[in-house]
Amino acid sequence: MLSLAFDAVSGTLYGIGDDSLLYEVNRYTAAATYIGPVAIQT
Amino acid sequence: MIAFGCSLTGTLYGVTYPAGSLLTIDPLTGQGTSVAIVDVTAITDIAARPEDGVMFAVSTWTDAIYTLDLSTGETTLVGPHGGVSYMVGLAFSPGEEPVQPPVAVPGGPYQAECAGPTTELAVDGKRILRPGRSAAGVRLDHRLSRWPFR
Repeated sequence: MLSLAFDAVSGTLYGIGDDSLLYEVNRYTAAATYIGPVAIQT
Repeated sequence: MIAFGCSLTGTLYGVTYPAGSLLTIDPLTGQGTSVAIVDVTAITDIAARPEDGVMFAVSTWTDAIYTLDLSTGETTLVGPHGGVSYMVGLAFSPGEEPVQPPVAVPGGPYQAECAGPTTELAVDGKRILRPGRSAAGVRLDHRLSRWPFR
């Protein structure tokens, strides 16, 4: 995981993995659930 | 993309590396939408200051910290962090200001309400009240194990 971000509004922890893949991270167990690639729409 | 952070209002942001495209990211799909080009290259992380939501960024090109305008991508130099090369992580520690404890009625029904957007409350480590939520009538059968209010 390259970086983590915590959404204090929803209480959700997110992580960015290699190749810009987005995960939701369980902040109690560290288990990561894949959400999807960060595909850039301009 | 290395730089990844969340605003106080719950919007996810990322900055591509090294090009510096500032994105909003849909937390449900990962879809990124380009907002602007950051005017400093090699941004490796961003973090929002809890007190006011100002977003900060660190660059490995300049080894310095900046504030980042989330609408325009413009940065304002805060200063060089000094002594560290290739800093790739940036985060704020929890605030230390005193917190307002919830109101307790001895022996009676208990009502707790979160005090701000980053608050949460665990009663005896079991029940967590999330930001903006309240729970009327939660009986205070257990001591408050922690209240990391800010």
